Amino acid sequence: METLGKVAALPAAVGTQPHKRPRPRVIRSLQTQVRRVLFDTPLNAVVTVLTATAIAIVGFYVVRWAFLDSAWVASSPAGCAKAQGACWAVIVKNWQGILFGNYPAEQRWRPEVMLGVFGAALVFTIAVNVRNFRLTLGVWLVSLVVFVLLMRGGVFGLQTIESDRWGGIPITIFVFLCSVTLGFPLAIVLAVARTGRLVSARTISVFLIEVLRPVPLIAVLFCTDLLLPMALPNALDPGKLGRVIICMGVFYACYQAEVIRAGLQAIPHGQIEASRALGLGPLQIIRLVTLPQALRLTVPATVNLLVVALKDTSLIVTVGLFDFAATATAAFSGNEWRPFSNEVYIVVALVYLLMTLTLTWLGHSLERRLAKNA
Amino acid sequence: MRDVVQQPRAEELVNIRALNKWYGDFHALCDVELDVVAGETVAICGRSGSGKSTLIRCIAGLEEFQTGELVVHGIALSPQSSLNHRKVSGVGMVFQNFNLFPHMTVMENLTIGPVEVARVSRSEARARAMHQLERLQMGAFADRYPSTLSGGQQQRAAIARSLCLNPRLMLFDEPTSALDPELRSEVRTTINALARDGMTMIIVTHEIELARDVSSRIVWMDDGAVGRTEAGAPPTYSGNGRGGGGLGGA
Repeated sequence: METLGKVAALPAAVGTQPHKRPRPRVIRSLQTQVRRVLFDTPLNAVVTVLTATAIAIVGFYVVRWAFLDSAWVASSPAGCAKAQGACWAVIVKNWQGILFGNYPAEQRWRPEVMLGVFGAALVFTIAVNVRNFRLTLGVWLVSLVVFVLLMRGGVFGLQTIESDRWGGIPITIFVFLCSVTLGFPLAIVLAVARTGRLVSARTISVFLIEVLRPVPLIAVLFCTDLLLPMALPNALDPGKLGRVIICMGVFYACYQAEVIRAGLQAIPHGQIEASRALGLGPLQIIRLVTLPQALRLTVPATVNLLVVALKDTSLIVTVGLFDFAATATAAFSGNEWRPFSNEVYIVVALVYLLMTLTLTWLGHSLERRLAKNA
Repeated sequence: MRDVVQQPRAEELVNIRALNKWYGDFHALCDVELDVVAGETVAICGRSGSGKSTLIRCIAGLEEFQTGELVVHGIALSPQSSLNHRKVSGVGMVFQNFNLFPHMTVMENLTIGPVEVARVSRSEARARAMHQLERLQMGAFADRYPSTLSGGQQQRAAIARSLCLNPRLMLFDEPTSALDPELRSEVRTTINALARDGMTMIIVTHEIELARDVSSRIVWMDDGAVGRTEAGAPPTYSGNGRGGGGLGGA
């Protein structure tokens, strides 16, 4: 005890205030920094040199093919034949077909405006950083309504254009947004049912998830497209586009439900006990306490599934809808641009990359914001 | 304070007769008998595993019990029922690990009960919450998230959260066990202040100073049964939040 007391008393015995000061700033030259990061050990130096060489070699050929030797303007494929590199003329000549598919040419301003609406909704989402969730959700729901009104027409003196003529990038975005809008609430219901105490609800949830998840989406799409019209009376048939959206929404919900369930199960039981002690009912506990925490925990996994759902929209071509990948393919198949499929697919890949990067970037910024709280 | 008016001594808030609980085949509570009258502060002490936490959790309705009689605030809880927590009202519970909601600010933590359960208006709930926070010297932390608070501050916020529902009875399950010794005194001072205001409390603890300091009666539990009972100190004020343990060493 004696020694302990002395040790505890030491700092006071010194009698001087600790001299607090700012951390010294180390200013490193670019050269030192490069050396520290890329060449600090012999192994790192070797890896750096090898990687840089590989990038340089690949980069040289890519740049030569894509830019130096490429043809941008050509009225026909023959004009491209002279060029050694890429034939971007296939894009320049066909871009409207690639973006909007079979939509009547004189009405193409409608999908163009629609892309602008989606873009505006995205800019709004980024601007508010999903801080006001209800407003953000509202903006996107309005954009979906605008989509149907504008694309289909038949109102405000617009010529009616049935959904089988819709195509391209607006369809891809629309199907993605609708299936997620439908699927996410369903996923919450399924996850809550599966973790809850109501046996019948749990059974239905487990059955739906475990039956749908192992089946490939393409098979589910086929089944829905063929069976739903037979099962439903004509009046209730939502049409091909509606069937596809329901199918993709339910399929997405099955995966998303398992992600949310993982989040729900990660919430410490003490949170539920504290809620019960406050007198909250079971639905209040889910709505106010466990679900908000579970959704925060599962943002990374959810973004993952959203990216998958976005890319999965390219499967709807199998039931006869022309998404972006399909309209792009149509731009060169069955005509004289056939030799230049690589160029088209590269552009398709870049557009998908842009869309998925936007999603992941939104997810990251949401994560960063949530990390500041809680 | 309106919500902690001294009740006549005769009113009984908890009656426990021959309470039995098993976890599987383990007999966790064995013929427990306990009565708590309004205004009393009862400390339940005992070794780990003696059943004291189980008992207080039964009173809060959070645990199922198998046989016996358990009347809380005039309502008889049912044996073999896991839904007793829905019957219990007017009882606040404070946990060892605080269990504040991490995604809400302190203010939101405090208003959720009044708004969602007692259905009071948001502004009224905020006023009530601010009153409780200031009473526990936590007013400056209303807009902070729990993770930015010290353990002692979190526990005081949790106590304030329970008080916002104007409980007749407060249950404390090891309220200081998760805290560093230097932080325990803040919570102890808070509990002491509540005792002086006449709040009826049951405190499970193995911190004997806390028990001696604040309780009017100490109930000892051993191996699932209530053993001897000793009279504790009358509620005393143990200082300004630093000293604590006024009678602790005696």
